[in-house]
Amino acid sequence: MGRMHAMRSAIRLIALLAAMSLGLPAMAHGDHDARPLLRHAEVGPYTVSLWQVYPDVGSAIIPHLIVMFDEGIPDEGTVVSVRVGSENVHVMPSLTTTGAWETMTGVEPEDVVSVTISDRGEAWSVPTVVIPPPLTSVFPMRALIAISIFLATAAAWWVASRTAQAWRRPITHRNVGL
Amino acid sequence: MVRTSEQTAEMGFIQKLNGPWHERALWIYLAIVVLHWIEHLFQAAQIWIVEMPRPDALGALGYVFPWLVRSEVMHFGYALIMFIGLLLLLPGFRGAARGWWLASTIIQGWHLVEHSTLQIQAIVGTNLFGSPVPTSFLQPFIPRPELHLVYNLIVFIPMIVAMWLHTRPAQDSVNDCNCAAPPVERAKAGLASA
Repeated sequence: MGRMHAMRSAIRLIALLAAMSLGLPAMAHGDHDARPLLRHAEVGPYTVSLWQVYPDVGSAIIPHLIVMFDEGIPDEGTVVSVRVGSENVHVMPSLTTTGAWETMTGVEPEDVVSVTISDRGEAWSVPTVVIPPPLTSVFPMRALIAISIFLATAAAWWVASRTAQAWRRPITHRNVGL
Repeated sequence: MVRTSEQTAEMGFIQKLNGPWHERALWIYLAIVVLHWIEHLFQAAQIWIVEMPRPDALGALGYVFPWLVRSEVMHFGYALIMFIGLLLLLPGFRGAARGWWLASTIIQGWHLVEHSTLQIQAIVGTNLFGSPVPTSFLQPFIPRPELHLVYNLIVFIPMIVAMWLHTRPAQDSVNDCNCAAPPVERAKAGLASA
């Protein structure tokens, strides 16, 4: 009985935590990857990291660049400018990430990215970064997917046949020891 | 021992779930797990077989409700439901089947920790490793779609092994449920329900 009581309490706690946590983040950032291009670079008074992130918008298919101020929101009046190759790229404070500035267009492999941070008449350059090739998977993904599709299909067939069988059996009957 | 309907009525929910209801509950649960699996495989096939850009690979539900994929809610909800199901149905397993089911529960427990951490990052607005997006513990080494596909696969395999062992006819003598009982013929089922 003690174990049952402990299990019931644990289930109630899990249910409560789930109910509390499900409400807020409905519009939060989701299933996206970000990879670091440059970490913790000392740039004047700031520490800055550069990340490449897949955007939330399905039609914008090229991952864009995020300039992260590692110590949080920079001083008011700080300006971040980004050049890709020889062209200036539009950049603005991120709506979803604190202390971050995002480019409005994506960056592609082999693009040379230069970032400059200006603050009260002074300007500092972040070391130039060349965008690396896209990540390659560490797993044999096609083989894993083939195995998974086979398992899922077999399980679906098993579910269908055994569920029908389970529903034919009256629920209160128990044949152990008969 | 034959359990009467009066005795069954006196049992608690967990006892019923792991006794007379275990068979039906198990198959309903597996159906939910397979649907979840299909969702992941749909997205995986979009990425690695159809070679769609990752932001466009939204899975099956994501085509209808794109915000679901772009939020943590669907992933966290699925992980939570899977973990609760594994935990609730564990007492009904015996012998080697219990070991496999427990292994699946422990791996799913870690998977839930990963999703809970993602959920907390999304709520608090501060992410692991200084990342601009919520990040799993192992995500710096393995991109998220790969990582969570593998998590689901290594939860699914021991779960299926456990169910296979649990439903073998030899297991019927030790089970408290009907999962391994011989199938009821259609004709008899018809008479029983008449």
